[in-house]
Amino acid sequence: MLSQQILNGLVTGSVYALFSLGFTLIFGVQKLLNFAHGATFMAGAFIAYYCTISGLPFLLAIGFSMVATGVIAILVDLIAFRSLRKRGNAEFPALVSSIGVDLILVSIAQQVSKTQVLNFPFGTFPVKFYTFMGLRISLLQLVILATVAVLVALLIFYLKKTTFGRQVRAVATNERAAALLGVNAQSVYLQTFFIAGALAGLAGVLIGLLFNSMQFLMGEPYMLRAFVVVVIGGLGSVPGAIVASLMLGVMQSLTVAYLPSGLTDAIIFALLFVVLLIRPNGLFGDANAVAGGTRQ
Amino acid sequence: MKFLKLSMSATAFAAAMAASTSAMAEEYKMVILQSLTGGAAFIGKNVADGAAMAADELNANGFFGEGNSLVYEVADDATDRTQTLSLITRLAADEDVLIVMGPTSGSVALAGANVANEREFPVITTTNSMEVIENGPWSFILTQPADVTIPYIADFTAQTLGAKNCAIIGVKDNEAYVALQRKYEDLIQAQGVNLASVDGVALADSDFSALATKIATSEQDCVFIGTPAAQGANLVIQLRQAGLDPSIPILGHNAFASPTFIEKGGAAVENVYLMGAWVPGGYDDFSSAFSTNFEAKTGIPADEWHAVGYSGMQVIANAIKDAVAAGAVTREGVRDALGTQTDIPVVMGEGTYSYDEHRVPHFGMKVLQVKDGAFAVVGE
Amino acid sequence: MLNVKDLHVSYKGIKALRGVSLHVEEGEMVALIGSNGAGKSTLLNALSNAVRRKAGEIVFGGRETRGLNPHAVARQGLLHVPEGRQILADMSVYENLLVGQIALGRRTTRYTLDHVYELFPVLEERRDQIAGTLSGGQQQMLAIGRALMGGPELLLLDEPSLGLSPLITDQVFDALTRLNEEGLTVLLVEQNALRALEATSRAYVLDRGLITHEGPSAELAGDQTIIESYLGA
Repeated sequence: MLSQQILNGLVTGSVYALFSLGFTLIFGVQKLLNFAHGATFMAGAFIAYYCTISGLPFLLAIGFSMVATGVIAILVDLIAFRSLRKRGNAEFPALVSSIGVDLILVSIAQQVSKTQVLNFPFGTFPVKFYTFMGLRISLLQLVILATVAVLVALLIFYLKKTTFGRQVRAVATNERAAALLGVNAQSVYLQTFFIAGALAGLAGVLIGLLFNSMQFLMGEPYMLRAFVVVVIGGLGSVPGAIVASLMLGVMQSLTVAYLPSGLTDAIIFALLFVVLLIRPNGLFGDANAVAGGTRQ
Repeated sequence: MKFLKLSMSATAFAAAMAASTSAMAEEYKMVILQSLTGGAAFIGKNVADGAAMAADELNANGFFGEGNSLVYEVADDATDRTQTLSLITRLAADEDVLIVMGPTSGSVALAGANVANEREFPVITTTNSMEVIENGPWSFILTQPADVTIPYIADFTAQTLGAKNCAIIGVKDNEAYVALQRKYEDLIQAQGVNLASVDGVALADSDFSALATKIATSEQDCVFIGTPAAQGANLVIQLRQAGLDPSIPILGHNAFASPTFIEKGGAAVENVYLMGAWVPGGYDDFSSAFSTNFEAKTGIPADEWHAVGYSGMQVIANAIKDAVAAGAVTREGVRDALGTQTDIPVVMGEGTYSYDEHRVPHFGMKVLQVKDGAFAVVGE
Repeated sequence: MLNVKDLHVSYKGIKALRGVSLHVEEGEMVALIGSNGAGKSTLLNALSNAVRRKAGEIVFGGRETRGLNPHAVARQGLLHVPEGRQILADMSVYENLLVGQIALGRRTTRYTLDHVYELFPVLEERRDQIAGTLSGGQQQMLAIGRALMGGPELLLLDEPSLGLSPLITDQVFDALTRLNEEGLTVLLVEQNALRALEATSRAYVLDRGLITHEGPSAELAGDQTIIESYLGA
């Protein structure tokens, strides 16, 4: 059972990674916590669901949903963050205004779904199981692991190896210096919000598909986990977010499997404190952060 | 926004009052105060919809006699204690309001009961918590406590299925669900059934992969799931996907008696046992008519909570009618009449609703099984 | 190349510049000296639109820059190496240089990566090192090299000698002189006024937000009041 539980944890953790990457990316670039990230995740699942039941092919529905959540995230930036950024000292007001956007999105979703739990129609994704070396793995789990691996690799490539990515990191490291070098911070913000939103949207779809369940509050537990991931991994650190997500997924699986139920959250937060005691900046604190995060 | 809704309907009410005095018709005013938003919205919203439909029907059928009607407002307790306390306090100050149907559940219901007893204001909460009754003579409960319902499924587990070793999955963050689950555990243990494992999930959880793997790889001859319908269906799917032996019976309580359970669970929930006060689609003339009309009106199939709301309104209407007949159209009169309601035709359980001498509601339960994508009454 | 007329800037409620006019011609290397708090950095920030001006004209390459964002000014070839160097500490030396190239846009420049490496060989030796771990002098070279990658028509330098040893300062100034001889236009702000006057052909003296003196650097270096006020100590 141990290896099966680790596999379960890795699959869940890989989706956490998808969700947390966008959150940490926005934090890295803007030094702002985007509370609307959970609602964006939920919106991704909802949009793909409504597209699917209106007859759109599933892959197209996912694509549409990712674009839409990317745009939603851009709107979050424009509505909740942009004007606050201009006046400086935006951390706390931005937190509050992004909570506001979160509540609006959640309320809309509640109205649209009539508070019902939604799930993708049976057959949206083929249910197939493979057994090897005693492990039971579904086609969906394999596809999710592969998709997340590819997207994470693409994201790292984008940040490390492309001009756009370097601009993102430049703004993350030192926005003022970047501007003097010709980097358009506004367009960097729009890009990072779009990427963060699209990844969160995809995470929403995958979670909805994997666990047959989508409801208007589904973003909240993931938001909480994203905080843990980002703090354990190191604020703004992309590799940190990936490692911490996978760790969190596996830990969660193992606590459910081997410890009295109800302790999961307590253990996760205990882990958080232990990590912070040993490494106050998180596992991948500051200096190695791909997306920056160093304050000058 | 919530307050706005309330004040708007209050204005409408005042206008209706003005119109009615000239016709010499009587109007009996009540408020449906349920969790339209917040964590218990999945219960409260449905109860409110069912209740409103019942009140409209009763009025249309002239239940209170020519020209007389039940006037109701719908308000939102928002699954929030502070909001509930301020709303009930305000409603209690309005002499015309005879009774409140609500609040919905949990600590919000208990807080509501508390203030209602202080203000001598009858409330009938949706919860099945005995604490609400014990709080004072002005607070009632609408649904059957676990003591009344759970024996139906527990006896079925131990006696009919002959289970010896059960895995239990409950909801850890809702006290009503916890109470049901504990009662079930106690009852089957009293009949010699061992608890193989006990796990709790949160209402917002959907990732049960670890739990499902754990149970699928453990020894047991019965799995009991005490969660809401959609979540239960999801648990069953994930248990099946984790490879749980299909010959092991899965059981649930009355929350599963919702079309949602079959819709969300699909083929995976085939053969699951459950008990229901509500049999989706109805099982006699009254309940079948309700099911048909409700779906025609709202576009969604009626579930247990819709039926609870609809049935509760029947009981309240009968109590008000009795109070009218006794010449006591007061809060006290309605309260006294409510506590003595027996054999009121409702659309759930065994078809009639009665309060016993301790003001505990009884309307019975049926053990059901999912067969060919529908609920079938076991043993019929 | 650069024409500034009657520039007024208020910064945090203080009138930092009170009507500054100056000009820099193509191929010149001009110094701006003045005591601490005279408004030198504010002037450079206003030129790159990093702070907003209250009034006045800034015409760069024949075009008024009013309303442009700092990054747009940079993309026109007005590159500002700010005080404290402001290198991208988490990124490698090479990546810093690549980010520098962003300002080039579709323009072309003679300053290629090879050119920068030739000017500052240490940047090539340490191309994969994280920039935050470079010494102060190396960081200053990186900041200049990075600005060169952006194809400067005019290079603004804010206190390049700050915190550097005399030896390293010499290296940096030698490089600047060489760049100017190759045709680069430079406006240099320095506390180290003597050094600045030696390196440049023309200079302005800024005092409490006003230009008090201007003229050939050699002349100013010989002016008694200036020697007393700025070169003394």
